[in-house]
Amino acid sequence: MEKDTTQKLVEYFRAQIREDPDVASAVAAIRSLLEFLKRDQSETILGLRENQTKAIQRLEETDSSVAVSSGGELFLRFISLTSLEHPDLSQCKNVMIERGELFLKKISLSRGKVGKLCHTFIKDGAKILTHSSSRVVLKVLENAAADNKRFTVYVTESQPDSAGKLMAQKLHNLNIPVTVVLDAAVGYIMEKVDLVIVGAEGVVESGGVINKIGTYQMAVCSKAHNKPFYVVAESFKFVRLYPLNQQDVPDRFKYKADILKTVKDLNQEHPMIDYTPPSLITLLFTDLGVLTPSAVSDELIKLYL
Amino acid sequence: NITDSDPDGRLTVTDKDVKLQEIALAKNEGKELTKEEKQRLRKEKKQHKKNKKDDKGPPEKEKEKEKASVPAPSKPATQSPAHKAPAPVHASESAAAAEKPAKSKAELRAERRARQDSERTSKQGKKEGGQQSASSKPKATPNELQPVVKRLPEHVQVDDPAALKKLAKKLERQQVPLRSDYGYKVSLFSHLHQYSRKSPPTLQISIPATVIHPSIVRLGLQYSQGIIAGSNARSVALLHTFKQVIQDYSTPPNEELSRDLVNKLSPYISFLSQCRPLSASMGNAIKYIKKEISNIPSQCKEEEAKGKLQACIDSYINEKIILASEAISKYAIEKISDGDVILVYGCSSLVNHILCKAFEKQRKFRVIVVDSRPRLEGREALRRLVKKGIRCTYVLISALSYILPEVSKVFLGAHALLANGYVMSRVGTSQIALVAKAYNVPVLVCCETYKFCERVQTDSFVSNELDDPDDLIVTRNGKSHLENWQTVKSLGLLNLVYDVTPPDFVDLVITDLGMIPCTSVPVVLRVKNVDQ
Repeated sequence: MEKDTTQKLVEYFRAQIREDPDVASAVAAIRSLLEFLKRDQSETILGLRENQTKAIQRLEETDSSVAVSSGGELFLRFISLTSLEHPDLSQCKNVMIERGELFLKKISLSRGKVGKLCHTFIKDGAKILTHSSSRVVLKVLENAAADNKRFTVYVTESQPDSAGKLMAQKLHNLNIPVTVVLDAAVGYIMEKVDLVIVGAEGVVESGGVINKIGTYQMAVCSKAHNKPFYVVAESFKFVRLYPLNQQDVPDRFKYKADILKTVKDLNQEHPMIDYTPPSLITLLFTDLGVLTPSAVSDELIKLYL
Repeated sequence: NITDSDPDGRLTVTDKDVKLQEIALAKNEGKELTKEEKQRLRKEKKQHKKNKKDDKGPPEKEKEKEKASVPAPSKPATQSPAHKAPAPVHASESAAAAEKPAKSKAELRAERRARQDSERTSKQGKKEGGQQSASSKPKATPNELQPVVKRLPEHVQVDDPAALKKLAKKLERQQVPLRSDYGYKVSLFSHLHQYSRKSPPTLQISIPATVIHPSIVRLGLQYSQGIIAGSNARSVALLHTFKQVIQDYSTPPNEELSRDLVNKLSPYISFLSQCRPLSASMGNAIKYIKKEISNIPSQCKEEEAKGKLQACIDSYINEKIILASEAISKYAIEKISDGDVILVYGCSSLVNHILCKAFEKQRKFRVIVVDSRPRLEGREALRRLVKKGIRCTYVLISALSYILPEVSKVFLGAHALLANGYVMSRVGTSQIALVAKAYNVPVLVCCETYKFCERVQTDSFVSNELDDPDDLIVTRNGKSHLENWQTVKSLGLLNLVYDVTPPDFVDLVITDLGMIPCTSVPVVLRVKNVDQ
C-alpha cells in the first residue's frame, strides 16, 4: 500500500518534468509533494508530517540534486510553521494545503524575480562566462537581451554530459552571440571576460554554493584575475549543509541516484558537483534580494529558525 | 543628630567632627557602614569638593573634563559620534556647579533637572541615541535597540589618573581593597593592570570580613592564584558562589529584596574583578542574575524568592553550559570523520568533551595537542584525552608549521565571540588559525552562545589581560635566567593572556544553535535579544 502511493508520487514527479522541461526540479518536486499531501489519508498531523518526510526521501532517491532536498525541507517547514490548533484534522489539512499552494506560487515566480534583479549588472558590451546549463542564468540573459543590451557569452562544454552545448543552443535561439569553450580553457579565456555568472544547485549555510563540477575551478580562476563571480539562485535552494571542503559534501549529492545504488566503489566514479567556498563568490542574486555570502546565513536563520 | 542639619545641609563643625570620628572608627573595625553613615560620608565628600571648587573655580573643571575626553579617541570609531554628546553636557554641568553657592540646593536641583530635560529633548530631536543625562548608567537596558554610549571599562584605563581616582573612590565606598600593580609594564600595554600572584587582594581584608561574603573571598583567591581557570569553570564557580550568597542573604528591614540584593552584589563583583578581570562569560552570567533578581515581584516572600533565584541559577548552568555542550558535541561529531587528524590547542573543556564523545561514538581519529609556555595547559588536555584512550601527539607551538601538513582539521575553543565576528581566545590561538589558513586546513571554533558578547574589537591591544610577569622566569639546571629582570631598566616582561582571531581565518563556528559562519554572530545576538 505504502509502496503504491510512493510509486505514484515518483511517477507524478517524472511526468511533471517531462511535461515542462523548463521547470526547476525542486518546483516539480514540491508540486508532487503537494499532490501527495492532498491524497494523504493519515489520521493525525504527525502522520501527515511523517509521510511527507518519507515522500521527500523517496524523491531524493529518484533525483539526487541538492535542490530537491532543500526545496522539500523548506516546503515542509513552510506548511507546518503555522498554528495548527484546529480540532478538526481536515481543517488543519486544508490550512496546510493552502499554505502549500501559496509556497508553490511564490517559488514559481522566484526565477523571474532573480532575472529582473541580475540583468542590470550586465553592462552594454559585456563578455560573460558561464558554466554548464542553468535555467536561471538563461532567464537572466534573456532579460538582458530583451533590454536591448549587447553582450557575448562564453559557455564551457561541461563534461561528462556536455550540458554546455545545450545552453549554447538555447542562447543561439535567443540571438545572443555565444561561443562554446573547453572546460580546460577556462584559465585561457578568463582574461577576455568581464564577469562570470553561474547558477547553483544548492546554496549552503556558509554562503558557498554547490554546482556542476568545474564551478570551483572557474571561481578560483576568476579570483586570480580579479573578475567578479556572480551566482544566481532561487531562495528554495538554500540548504542546511556546511561543508568544510570538497570531501565534506555528502555522497548522496555528489553522484547520480542510480549510480549510488548500483556501484560498489565510489572512488572510481566521477562526482557530478563540487563546492565553491564563499570567499570566492562576489555576490549572490536571489529572490530575497542581492546578498553577500555572509548574508546567506542571516537569511537561512530567518527561514529555518 | 542626623535630622538636626540646617536647610542647606551644612553641619556645624563639632557635629561634623564627631560624625567623621564615628565613621572612621566603624571603618577600622571592618564593620559595614550603615546606610546613614554612608550617606553622611557622601555628603561630606560633596561638601569638600564644593569648597575646593570655590577655591579653584571653573578652570579646574575644564581640565578634568579634558582628561575625561582624552580616552574618547582611543575608543572604537563607531562610538565616537555618540560619545561627543557627553562633552557638551559636562560643560553645562560645570557651569551649573559654579553657580551653586549662590542658590539653595533644592532650587539648584530643580534648575538642573529642567536643563537636563531640555537637553534631553533637544538631543532626541537630533537623534543622538539613548542618552538620558550626564549621570546615566554605563550599562544600557538590553531591550533598547538604539545605540547607547558605553563608557570604557575601568580595567583598560589604568594609565589614566582620573579613571584610577574614580575607581579608588568607588572601591573605598564599597570597602573593597584596591590591588596595586606590579613591575614595569610594556608601554603598548600600560593601559592594563598587571598584578603579581604573590600579593593577592585577600591580604588586605581583615578576618572575618563582614563586607564581603567569605565564599566570595575564597573564590577571589582561587581566581587570582589560577586555581580555577578556564572560561566555563570560572562562570560555574561564580554561579555556585552566588547561590551560596543568596542562601545566606537576609533582607534588612524596610528594604526590598529585589533592590537590596543587587546592591549587595556590587562590592562582591568589584572585589572579584580586582582579583582577576571578569571574563565575558562571567559578565553575561552576572547580567542574567541581576535581571532575575530585579524581576522578583515585591510581594514575594523571602524564602520563596531565594528558592526561585537558586532555581534560576541552576537552570542557567544546566541550559547554557551543560546542555549546550551536549548540543555542540552532536553537531561537532558530524564534522569528525574516520581517519581524521585533529589539532587542538591548550585545554578547552568544550573541545575535550567533544573529542571524548566522538571517541565514544567509535570515530577513528587521532589528536595532536599543541601547547605553549608559560601556562602549559595542553598537558592537562593531554592527560584527559589519553585517559580516555585517544591516540595523542604533543608538540609545542613552535613546531606548528612542522606538523600542520599532517593535520586535517583544527578544533579551537573560545573565551568569547565578539559582535564583529572576531574570536577572543587564549594567546596563541590566532597564530594557529593563521598558519592553518596558510596550509588550507579548516579551522572550527566551538563556543556556547552565552559567551557571545556585544563588544567589538579588532586587535588584541585594546582590551586584554596581563598575567604575572614572574611566570616567565624559568629555572633550568639550577640557573634561573630573568630572575632579576626588575633591575634591568630597559627590560619588560610581557605575559599576555588573550588574543583576537579575525573571522577570515575561521571556517566554522559550532554553537548550541547550530553551525554558523563567523560573520553571523550579530545575527545570533539579535535573535537572542528578541527571545528575551
